[in-house]
Amino acid sequence: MKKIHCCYSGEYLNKLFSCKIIKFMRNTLLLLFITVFQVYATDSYSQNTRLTLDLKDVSVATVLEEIENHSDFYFLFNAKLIDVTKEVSITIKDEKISDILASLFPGNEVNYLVFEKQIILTPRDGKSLPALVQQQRTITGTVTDKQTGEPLPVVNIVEKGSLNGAISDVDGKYKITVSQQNPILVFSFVGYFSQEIEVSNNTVIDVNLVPNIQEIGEVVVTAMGITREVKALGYSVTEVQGARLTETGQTNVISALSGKVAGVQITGSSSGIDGKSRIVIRGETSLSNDNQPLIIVDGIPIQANQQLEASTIPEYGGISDWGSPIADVNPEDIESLSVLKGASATSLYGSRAANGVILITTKTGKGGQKGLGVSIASSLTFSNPLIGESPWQKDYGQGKNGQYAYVDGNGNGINDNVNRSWGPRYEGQMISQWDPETGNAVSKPWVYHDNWKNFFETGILSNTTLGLTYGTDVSNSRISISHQKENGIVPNTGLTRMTANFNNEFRIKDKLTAYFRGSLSNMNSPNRSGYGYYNPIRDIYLMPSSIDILEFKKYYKTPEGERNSFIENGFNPYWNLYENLNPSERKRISLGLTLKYDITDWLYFQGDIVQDQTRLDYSQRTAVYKYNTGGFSQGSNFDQEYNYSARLGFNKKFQNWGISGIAGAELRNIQNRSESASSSGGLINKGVYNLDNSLKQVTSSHFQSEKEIHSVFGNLNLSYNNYLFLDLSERNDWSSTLPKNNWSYSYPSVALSYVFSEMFNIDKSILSFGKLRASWAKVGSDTSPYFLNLYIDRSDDGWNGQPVQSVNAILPPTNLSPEISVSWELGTLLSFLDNKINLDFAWYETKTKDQIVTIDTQWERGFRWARINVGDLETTGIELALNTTPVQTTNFRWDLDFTYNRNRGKLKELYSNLTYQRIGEWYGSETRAVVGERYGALWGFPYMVDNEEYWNNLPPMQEDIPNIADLHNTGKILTNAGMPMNTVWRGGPYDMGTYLTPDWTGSISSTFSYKNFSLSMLVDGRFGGYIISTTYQHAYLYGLVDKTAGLNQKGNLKRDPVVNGGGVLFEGTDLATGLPNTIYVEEQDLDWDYNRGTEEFMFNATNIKLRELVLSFQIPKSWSGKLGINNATISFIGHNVLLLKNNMPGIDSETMMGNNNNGQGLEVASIPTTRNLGFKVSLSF
Amino acid sequence: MKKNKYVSTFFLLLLFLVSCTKDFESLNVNPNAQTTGESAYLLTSAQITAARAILDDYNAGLCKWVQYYTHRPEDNVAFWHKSGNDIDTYWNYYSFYVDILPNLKVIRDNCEKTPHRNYWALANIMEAWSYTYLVDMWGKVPYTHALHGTSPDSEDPDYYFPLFDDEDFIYKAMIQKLFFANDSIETSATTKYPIIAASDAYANGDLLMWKKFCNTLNLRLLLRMSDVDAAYAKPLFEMIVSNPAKYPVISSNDEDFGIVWIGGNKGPWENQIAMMYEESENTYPVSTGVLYYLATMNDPRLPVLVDPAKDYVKAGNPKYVGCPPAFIRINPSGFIRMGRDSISNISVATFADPNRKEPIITYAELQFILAEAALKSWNVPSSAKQYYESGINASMEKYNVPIGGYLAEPKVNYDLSTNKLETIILQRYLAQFGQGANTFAMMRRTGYPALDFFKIDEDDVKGFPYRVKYTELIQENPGFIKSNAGVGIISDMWGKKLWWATGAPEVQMFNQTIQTGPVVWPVN
Repeated sequence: MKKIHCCYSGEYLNKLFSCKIIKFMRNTLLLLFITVFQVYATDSYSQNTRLTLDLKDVSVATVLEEIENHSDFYFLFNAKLIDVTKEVSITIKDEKISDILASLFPGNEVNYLVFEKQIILTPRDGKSLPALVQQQRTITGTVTDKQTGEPLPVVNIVEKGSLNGAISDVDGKYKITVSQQNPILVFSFVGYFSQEIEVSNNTVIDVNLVPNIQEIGEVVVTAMGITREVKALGYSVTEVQGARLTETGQTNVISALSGKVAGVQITGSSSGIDGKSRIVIRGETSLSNDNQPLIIVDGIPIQANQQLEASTIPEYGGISDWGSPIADVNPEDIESLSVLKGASATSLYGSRAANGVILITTKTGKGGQKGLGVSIASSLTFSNPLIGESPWQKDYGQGKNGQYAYVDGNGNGINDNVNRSWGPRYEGQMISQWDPETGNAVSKPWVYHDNWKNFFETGILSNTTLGLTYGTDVSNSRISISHQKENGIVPNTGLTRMTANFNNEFRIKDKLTAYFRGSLSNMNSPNRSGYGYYNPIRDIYLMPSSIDILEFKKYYKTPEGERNSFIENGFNPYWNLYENLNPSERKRISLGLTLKYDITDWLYFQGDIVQDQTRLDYSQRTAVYKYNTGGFSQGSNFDQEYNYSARLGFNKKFQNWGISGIAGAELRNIQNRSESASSSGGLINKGVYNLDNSLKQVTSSHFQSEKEIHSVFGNLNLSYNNYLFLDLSERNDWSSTLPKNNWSYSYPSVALSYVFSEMFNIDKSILSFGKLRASWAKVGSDTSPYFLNLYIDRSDDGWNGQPVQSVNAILPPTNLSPEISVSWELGTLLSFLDNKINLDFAWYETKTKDQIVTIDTQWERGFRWARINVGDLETTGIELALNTTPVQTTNFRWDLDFTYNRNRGKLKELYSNLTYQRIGEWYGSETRAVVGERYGALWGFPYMVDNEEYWNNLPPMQEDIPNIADLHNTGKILTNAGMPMNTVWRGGPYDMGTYLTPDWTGSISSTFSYKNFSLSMLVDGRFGGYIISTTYQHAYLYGLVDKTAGLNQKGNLKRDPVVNGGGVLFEGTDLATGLPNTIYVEEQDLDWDYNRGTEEFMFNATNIKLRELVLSFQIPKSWSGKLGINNATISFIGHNVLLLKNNMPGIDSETMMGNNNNGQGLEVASIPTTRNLGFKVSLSF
Repeated sequence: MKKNKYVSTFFLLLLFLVSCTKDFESLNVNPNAQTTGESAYLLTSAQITAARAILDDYNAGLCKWVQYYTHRPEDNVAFWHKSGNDIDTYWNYYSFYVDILPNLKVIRDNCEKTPHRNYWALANIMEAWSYTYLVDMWGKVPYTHALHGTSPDSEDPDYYFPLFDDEDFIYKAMIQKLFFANDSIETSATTKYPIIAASDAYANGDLLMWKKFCNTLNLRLLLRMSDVDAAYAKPLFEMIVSNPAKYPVISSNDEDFGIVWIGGNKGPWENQIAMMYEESENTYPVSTGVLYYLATMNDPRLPVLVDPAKDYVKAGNPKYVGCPPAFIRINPSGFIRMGRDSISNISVATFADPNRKEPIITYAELQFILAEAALKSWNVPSSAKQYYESGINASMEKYNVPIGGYLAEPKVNYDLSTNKLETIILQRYLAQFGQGANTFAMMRRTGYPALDFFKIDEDDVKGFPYRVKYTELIQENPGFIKSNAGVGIISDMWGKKLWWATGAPEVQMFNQTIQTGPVVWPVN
């Protein structure tokens, strides 16, 4: 990369100081700090590398160039000070670099410092210094990384406008002699923003350099952990530094990624603490799996993150979302995170990477510091519902027909067995009401209670991580432990999580290196809230506001231990939360060992053994009360994956050409086991939760599965003149899950990168960097184990003590073949104005065919479903990342970044006569992939509209209105005797004409840095798309929706009887007359049954949030240094700070029913999104 | 050379890693499930699922149509559903092709691999009962091309979208199955083909009972097709009747064939009406149709079949209150809502008895079948009158009520009857109380008995339904279209009659206007 990056900017400097940093591969340097594999290439490089040269009568410069061409060494020197024009002849054979340098620069003129692959040439004495030296002073100091606090070696320090320069040593210390009156020091280092500092009268200047993660020329970790330069990539990879993930104290890596990477959509959890977050890269491309990416931590795939067998057969939510093991990765341990987006980027990983890969590299002990390093990060945040206000009407309480009086909650009072809110208006009048303490009637004022607000508690999340690093000449290690404690906003929910992470890199012999890493975690939750329909807070959503929940909380159970409620067997959220506990414990162990042997300087062998295990133990209690005989169940899920791989890697350079690659093989074994046992018939003893307490025989279930994939893979990277790069890769998998004739499948990929700015000498101050990239890849995919046979099920219920068997309703495939997805990507990476504006643009297209899906089949064939290769889902999109630095001065810097993604998935074809595949359903509404349409169509029960198109498309309409001539074509909703005509529960559902997928997503982030302060914020949003809220669907029945109260068109109370001027006029066209409806109907009649069309509770899902807000202050070294602290930063942090746009009143439209495919687009009793505000302190010693 | 050694070792390792796919097939053997099924246990599941489908789950809607009792009501009785929605034909149809018939097919496959004459016969009898039920309900249904999911021709369009067979074809195939089954059953105690008694939900392993069911069912089917194809039906019918040794039939009330559900504790296999009663303290409300006949003909079975309305019992004046089978939908505020306790339920003691044998076919029915055959002058041992009176007596004995002077009642007296067929069918109708599907077929074939006003919804120009509805899913099925199975069907349930009802008279109404409220018996 010849001249992308110039250490010193400015024309004057260019003239004076020819900045001839020949082939300064900054990536090699960064590599030192961020990768695990890189160490094998660089450590001991200078000692092990031997070169052969035979050159006659050439300039020193030519010799240096030759050395660079034949090795990874790079020279750094000032051409004004070092005479490289001198002609020399040199003949060496298999000699170390130090020997070569000694013969190249005999005598004492030139000093050379070999720092790994970096060779710095400086004049040995001061004789060549210009005579313009006036007054000389010596400045010393330490350069550190602003975020990690770790010292930065090899930082270039120059006195602006002079020839004076210096380089920091391994401890980050530097010493520079300045000669001007008001000298300005320029600190620059690859991967960091350059900084200019006025020296004034100081003699010690400590500097914190801010990492420039967006800088072109950075290196990123790509597939198989191979570090590559961004410019060489023909596909899109986005890297996020660990520090960006921990800014706001989020403990879930996935939710911390929100808005930070173009083309990545994160959906928050709707199930409270430890809920699963959904991450989809470049949209849904598969009907057969849950579209979640593969997550790999230090080369160890996290098993159990993906649900490979997705859910085309609907699930209905459950007692609990048990979370995902990705939540057990402590963000504080993360050094960097790479998002590999397209198939070309991931094809080396094989089938399961088809939805993209998230590569996480944890921090290591590397970084140049020998001896002990200590860092501590601690955060404390408080969470509250992001929407604190109840959206429901505040005028009417419990009852029916405007009447209510409590006697016994059993129908003996006036509507006292009605749990809906169609009762009297709140006027402070005295009404006989339920007394939670006694259960008796008590006359008290009829008033509104803000139960919504009173129910939720302030959640607390604390997270402390202690990291220790230790380095010696031959090894370096890092150990960290963390403790997280979280209390949810839903009462009595919380968890504690401990994680430990360790890694050690050990150079056993010169050529043999071992790298061992592992992590352990233990998540323990005494209780978590359920999700979906079983969510206890569904009660809060639907409970009448005439009940005071604070009172209720005190007496949620009677002194006898019975479940209390204001009507017989009515709502009681606290009973669920305090009595029906769902404790769970998740343990994760992940271990990896890598051995690498350098066979020659260009060829290495590497072997990896990694494994990941997650075990979840859970239990569920159902307390006994009058209407429930109680129950207890417990179970465990165990997921395990082993990976064995071996590879040969090489890296060669010939003149202008570079060639590198790997060839290897892998064996992957994946096992799952789940066991559960439940009581049946109820519990014997109240309050005792174990299986022995089951009234009847305990029922149990057991499931285990295993699959194995064998693979060979290889790739080849060719480069020409550092501006043309070609990657070729090929992988072949053998999967045990497929039939013999199809279990072997291969997939190739090609990627091309063309750095045109490098080829033509474009003015860097205008176009600093420009590249075009193109890639193509084909990826195959297998399926879950045991799909090939027809099974006979044993019924849970026997007959007469005998077993009962029946044929399974899923027809197995006769000749299953692997799924195939083919993708294209075109993109460009452009930098302008000395990298002040960076633009990354990509267009992509993925066609996924032959998906292994469980589809509905013709019942007459004897089966309900069939597993088969079907479908052709085409996804296209564009994504854009724009990173700018509008202002940069010595003390102030402003960064402004944007991302944009527009993604469209379209089902081109399904199978035979199938016109759609159901994705999810709840309460009559469905989400579907419909042939010929955008992915994620919403279906429900719409109103009948006075329009021929509706008549033609809505079958129930033709039943109600047999003749099209009876229509009036007003385009309004039809009413009959004042009531809207609808299709609810009549056949269907029907097409609502909307989609759950957003039209586009985007984010803006901005960071201001001023001296030791920095303020950053991130706004992200999704625009367009729709969501159907079944919470609202129910709230209409319950008379809670705001619209069901207030004034009618006449200005009278809607809920007053029609005869008294009340009621509501539904705006529509009267079926009989064709004129606007004039008949008022009782509001309660309109809402009591399902008369509302789905339109009423379908909302535009545009959602914009101020996702992050961080104000941090780095305590000046001059203070903290006295305590021996290298770096101390204190921050105010906020996550989900503001909801800037949301169309579903009271409920965050970003929350979904669940975080798998079929939970999208539908909402039911979501636990509110929380606003988290708090503090974070980071220290390093 | 040292390098070459590394490289070659490496590639040997690779080869080793990836070449061992030979254990893949054993690795992919599911440790959690079996791929074979036992005939005995598959039969149990076919039996209980078929009984649930035909006698319980989808029976209530048919009972409403034939006016035995009405749908299970909620707080208020508001029968506003369109009649087409009374029966969930979607799941009914599904349950046969996915839950019942595949199990029978596996039993037959098992018996072909390892011969077992008895399970083979039982599977065929179950198939005959199931397929003729499907025909009786819908008309054309897939038979020849059905259930080929696992066959090599599975992807062939005619099997992928199974063609629908003609009704008479299926009927004759099933009658043939029943003859084969009868011949196949070995009833001897020392048979080489024993069956597991405890797993036989209908006859507890009594193979002679299976034979009797087989032949009695055959007689029912042969009579059902008698008006359209007497040439086929008559000789076969007479062959069975004339040779009781070879073709034994049900010979007493004790031999009524059916299922006794496993009682108690709300298990899945509890008597459903008992389960309903446990949950709601109610059974089904009785219809005005059947109540009219029971009350006006002084039927001694009335108190055994129907309980007086609770409100009237509370008031000390027990009365039977029928629930009209239909209301008009159009204006929701026009719904007539009746208090649940102000109408009569079918008898708790009789129908919610956990030990009740839910009948599939009864001795009484056989007597009426024989009576009708005699009326047709088919060659049967006794006269129509004798069979008719024997059928009434059997029904009275069944409910353990003294017959009293019932046979002399004007509408019961056979000799006084001017329309003997109507008289026989009315008694068969009463004897088959609660057997919705069977009675629905009988009424469409004969046009008797007349019912209370049943023209419902906006379809009140049309009369008694000719079939249940093919769901939209079926109507869109290419196999259905290709087989012209929908030709002639109007408004889902009218238009073309079923094959065996071709030319049959329409069911009449004894009441020409809609009831506006409950009908109370006795009238003061």
